[in-house]
Order: sequence, then structure tokens, then C-alpha cells
Amino acid sequence: MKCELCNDNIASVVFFVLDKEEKIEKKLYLCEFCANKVPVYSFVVNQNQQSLHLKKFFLPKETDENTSVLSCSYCLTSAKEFLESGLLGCVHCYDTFQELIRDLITEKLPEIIHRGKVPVRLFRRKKIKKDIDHLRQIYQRCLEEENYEQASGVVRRLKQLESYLR
Amino acid sequence: MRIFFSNFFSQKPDNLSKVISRISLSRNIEDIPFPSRATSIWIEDLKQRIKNLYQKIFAAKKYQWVQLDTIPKNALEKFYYQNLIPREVLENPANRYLIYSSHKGILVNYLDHLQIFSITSGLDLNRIYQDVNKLDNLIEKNIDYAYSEEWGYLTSHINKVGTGMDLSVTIHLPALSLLYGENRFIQWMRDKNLQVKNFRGEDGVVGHIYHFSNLYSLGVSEWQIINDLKKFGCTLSKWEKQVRESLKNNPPRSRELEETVMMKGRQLYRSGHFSLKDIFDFLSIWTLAWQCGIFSPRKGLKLIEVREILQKTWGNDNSLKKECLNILRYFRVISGEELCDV
Repeated sequence: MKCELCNDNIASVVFFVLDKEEKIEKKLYLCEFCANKVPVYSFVVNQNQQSLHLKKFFLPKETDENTSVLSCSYCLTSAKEFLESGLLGCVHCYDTFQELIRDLITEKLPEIIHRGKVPVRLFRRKKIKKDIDHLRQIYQRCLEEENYEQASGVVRRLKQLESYLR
Repeated sequence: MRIFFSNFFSQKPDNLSKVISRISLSRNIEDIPFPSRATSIWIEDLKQRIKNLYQKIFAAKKYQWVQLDTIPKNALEKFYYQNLIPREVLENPANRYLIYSSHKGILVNYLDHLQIFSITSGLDLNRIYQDVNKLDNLIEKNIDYAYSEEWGYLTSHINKVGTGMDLSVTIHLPALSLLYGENRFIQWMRDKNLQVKNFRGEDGVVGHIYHFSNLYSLGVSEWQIINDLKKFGCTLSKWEKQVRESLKNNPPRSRELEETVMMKGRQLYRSGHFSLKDIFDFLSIWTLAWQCGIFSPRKGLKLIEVREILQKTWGNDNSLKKECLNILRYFRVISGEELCDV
């Protein structure tokens, strides 16, 4: 079943909209992203229902079954093995179990962005990419100003930088 | 026993136990499965690549290459007591290698392909990070690490993904533990997002020795982890000193501690069943009483009596004896060189 808000992702969370007597008045099926980000309270409150209570339950999800059969095609680590041992088998496991890892980590961490050291080779690559973007902007400006002489110089430099990335 | 006693007398009563800090960076090589899934062919490939690197860079810098499953058990134990290898490697050294020079080096094929580490006594974390960072940069020039822009350095355990850094501080806090209670103290550390273990790497604290480390490695920089733990370690040392000071200057409390030590010692001597925790907790508070000046070698529970208690508890168990001596060395009650003489 798809999320009732974004209609894109699979719903994994149900919001039970309760009335004053705590009887279920409405159910909303949402994906985890919408359940966490979208202010559902404002979505369900209308003029007649000023004080609806919301309760969030996790579905005994269909996705759990899908997750348990997941396995990495490179090292053959299954999701079950990963959850039992806590160990991933190879770098490709990070792609295979991306959602699972994200779920496990976000329980503890507020954000998932690497803020530490970057390998030198990637640091240089990043800088080159940034320079290329900058040169492309200059190239566009040269074309608009019909400054073809400078544009050809920029193209030469662009080709040189792009060759470093190959 | 002669040297044991002479060392004992030479200690100053206000000495605190050692603080040991250890930084390790977990790194994996691109294209090779992590150690938990690597087959023998992959392990051989890893070994060859690291050995070539050793010959190219580290041999000239006077680092040693050790294949851990080919050395005698006592040499392996020595590495363990020097904190160069963890307990799991001591128990299972197969296909594991160590490149080391004094207190820094690289452990190969443990949980990750490489664990670059440096150890120091005290809280000079900046220096040991610079040590491991230098080694890391040297390796990185020759080997491509498994890295993703989103996750950072990819490790086999998701707790280490990101910087791959595991920073741990081992500290002896008997006075604070007696004041607040061990469990409350552990909970407080956990609330500060720290992982608390004992010096053997197991859950729970033994001998009031806390081994705390950063729980997360993603979303924070290396320097942030270092600064937070350094600050925390300094605060704990300061508090421990303050509590010890008040213990010293408060006669009823000193007497209370003295009685506790005597009682625990007597219990240990008479009891046939005791755990490692019982022995180490006793040694810990005995050391505290001695370091606070409440006991002297001629007053309270005398050295000769402590020796008798210890000899009775460890009996013919050599590994327990070694563990006890290691703890006494950590408490600065005996120094490392005299281990064999006791």
C-alpha cells in the first residue's frame, strides 16, 4: 500500500485519528518520511474536530518480509546475518541494506552526514569538479557577451580539468 | 617478593592510577570483502598487499611485522597486556598480523582490514591522533580505501562508519564509584553517548576501571570526538581527585573505607567462591585507601596480608595471577618490569 500523502513510497506507519472517547475515527497510512516530516496534526484537524488525538503505530510491515530476504549480491551477506552479527560483509552491503542501516542509525543519530576526514584523492576530485562548474559558468557568460576568444581559452582549460577526472 | 615490596614503598601516597588513552582508525580496502566475509584467497591478497606496503614504507621506519598465529602464547599475551591487540585476537590470532613500533601500529584483518592505532598514558589525545593520522595518510597514498561521500569511511560495523574512529579512555575511579554507585555512574556516562565497558572489553565495570569510548563516528569530525572525550576525561580526573581529597580529610569517612577494605579482604580470604569482580573490586578499594594515605604499608591491611589473600585466590591459576598483577601495575602499585619477580 502506498503512502496517502506522497503517493510514492510504501506505507509503513499508521496514524490512528481518535475522537474524544478514544475511538478510532480515521486511519492514515503513511511512509516513514512523511510520518516524520509532514505535520500530520495540521492535516487532519478541521473546523469540527479541534481536538483529535493522534497515535502512531508501526505496521507489522509487509516490508519486513522483503527486508529479511534481502542479501548482498557481492558477498552474499543476508539481512538476517547482518542483524544478528551487526557486521556488514563488504562495501556493496551499504547499498543493499541502505534503508536498514539508515533505520538503525537514525534511531541513535540526529543526522547522517559524514563530517570527518576525506581521502586526499577524493578531496582533489571534489575541488576539480567545483572548478569545472565555475569555468562552465564563465563559458556561458563569454558566449552571452560574444567574447569568443576568451571562451576558447576557457574550453581548453575545461578539457584539461575534465581529463584529470578520467 | 623483595622487588615487589621495594616498589611498593617507593610510591607516593597521593598518586592516582594510570589513565590510558587509545585511538584507532578502522579502514577497509576497496574491492576486498570485509574480514567477516573474506575467503582465504581474499585474506591472502590482503596480506600480500599489506606486506608489500610494509616493505615499501614501514620496514625502513623500524616497524615490526608479526604474524600473530606463529608467535608463542606468552608473546601474544604481552601484546595484549600492552593494549596492542584486543582480547578476541589473543583468543583467535589466526590470519591476523601486526605492524608495530613501540605503542603505535596497524592491526591487520581483525574486524576491519586495517586498524591503525596509537596508545598513550595520560590524556594527550591530540598527539596520538596525529600519530595515527600520519600512518593513515602514508597508507592512503598507496591503497584506495573503501569510502563513500555519504557514509564516510566504510567499516564492517555500522557504529564506526563515518570517521572510523574509536577513541577510548581507561580510567580508575574508585572514589567516585563509591560515592555515586557504579550503576548510576555507568548510566550517566551512557546518557552522554559514551560506550562503557571494562578493561577486558566486556559489558559492566570491574575494579572500578571504566573504559569509555565514543558511541558514534558519523556526523561528527575527528577533532570534535577528541575534544569531547578529552574534556570529559579531564573532568572525571578532577572530580576523582576532589573526592579523594575530601575522603582523606574526613576521619569518619576514612575509617569507613578502612573498615570496608578490611571486611572485603577477610571475606575474600575465607570465601571459596569469588568472581573476578570480587578480587578486582577489593584490589581497587585497597589501592584507593593506600593512595589516599589511609593505609600505609605498616598500617591497616598490610602488604603481607594482601599477598596472602591474592595467593590464596589465584591458587594455581596462572592467567588469573597475570590479570591481578596487570591490574596492580595499572594501579601503579607495581611497575611492569617486576612482574616476573613477584
